[in-house]
Amino acid sequence: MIQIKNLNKSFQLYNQNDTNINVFKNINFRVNKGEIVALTGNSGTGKSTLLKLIYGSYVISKGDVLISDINIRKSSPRDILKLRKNKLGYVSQFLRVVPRVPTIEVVIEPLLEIGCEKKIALKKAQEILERLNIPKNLWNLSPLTFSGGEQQRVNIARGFIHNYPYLLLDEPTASLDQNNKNVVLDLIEKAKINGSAIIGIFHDETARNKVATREVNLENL
Amino acid sequence: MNQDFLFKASNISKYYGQNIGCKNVSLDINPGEVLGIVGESGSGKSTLLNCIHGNLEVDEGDIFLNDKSKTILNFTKISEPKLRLIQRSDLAFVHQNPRDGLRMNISAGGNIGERLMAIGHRNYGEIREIAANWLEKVEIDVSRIDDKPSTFSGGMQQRLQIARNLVTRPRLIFMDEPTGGLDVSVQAKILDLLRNLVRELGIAAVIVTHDLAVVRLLADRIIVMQNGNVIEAGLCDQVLDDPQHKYSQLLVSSVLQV
Repeated sequence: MIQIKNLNKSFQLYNQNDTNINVFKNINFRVNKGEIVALTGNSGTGKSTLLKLIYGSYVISKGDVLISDINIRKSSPRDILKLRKNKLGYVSQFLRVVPRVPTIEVVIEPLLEIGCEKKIALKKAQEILERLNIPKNLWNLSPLTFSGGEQQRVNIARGFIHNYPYLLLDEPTASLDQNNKNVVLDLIEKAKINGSAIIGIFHDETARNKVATREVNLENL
Repeated sequence: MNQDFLFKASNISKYYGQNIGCKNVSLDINPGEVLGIVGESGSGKSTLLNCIHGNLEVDEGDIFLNDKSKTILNFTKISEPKLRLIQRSDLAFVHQNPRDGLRMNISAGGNIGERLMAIGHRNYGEIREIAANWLEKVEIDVSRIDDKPSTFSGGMQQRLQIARNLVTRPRLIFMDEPTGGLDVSVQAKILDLLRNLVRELGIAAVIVTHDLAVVRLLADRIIVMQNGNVIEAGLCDQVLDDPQHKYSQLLVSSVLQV
């Protein structure tokens, strides 16, 4: 279960006239196993910020984020890295990888991190890349040369190759065609059935309606 | 106290006369971890790196290594020869300028072999074979084994320096701007290489760099230095994406999108 308790986030920008930006205040909700909560609200309401707070990339100003019994605000960097490696997945819109590393190697990385045998990891990667319609002749090339949609699917392959019990999705279907969008939605649905607790941002309403069990609108909180 | 640590430096200070090199810096590293040290020129990054490697005598503080036999050694208390031995076996140091880390007047194979001999290897055929193997790992054509590094390009020299340092299977490698001064495509090659080696061999690394894109790709945790002080430390993406200190914010916002 992911639990958000009285969560506040503000940014203090010291070099920009000490501006203080309040993103949101007192957010409360919880996501159980097998649930997908879709975050909604206009641009600038803090949807991506909330995901980054849960993932530990942003610093919590006030309140708590609990992932099962782990309190993110109180966790050391090492604890957060361990949590990410084993339990907490995050699929963003942007692919950040070391240049020159082939796609297949990028995709198996999360499995190697948890000590999976390379042979098994490669097999899983092939399956998921095939499923996501990434042409086989691209697997040994760096994804940095790919189109936006292809890069996003590599990111998705990487995010879904390991069955994370907690999953954060930032626009996972944003630049995909209908066919690939459906593949991704199926992957999300499957993760839900497997019992993952998922929080996602889906601008595409049909996609959202298809997978979300509930919506949390950040404007009404 | 964290008993699994590989390396720990506590309250390190180094002064150059009236000037602060670094002040009251503490850090610890577990096996397999990559720690980035960032900050602008003159912030004390390289001083700190040289202090914790034992190249530079510290004015205050202690440096501990949990060695292969699980004995905790204090660099400031052990003898000079013992420290040199540790620097050649458990530790490695990759200099920004490969000329500082290579012997320019002996062959590429010799540069790698010398390190093996220093830790007791004596069989010439075996040494040459390992050297050839490492040249391959760092993507230098094995036919260049008898050439001197002075005939190599900057990127090749840097890769040779990495091979020379890793051949003895250190447990912790210190790197001072390992990709600085190299063009972008060569940097990518070296980053890729370093990441693979770190994972494959399970070694830990401390990387000093002013290049935030490099730390983002390599480091688990980072520390930000200014005027010899650590002003912020934490999870790599957290410090880069939501820096809390005024200076870290300036540092992160001063670079092109990474």
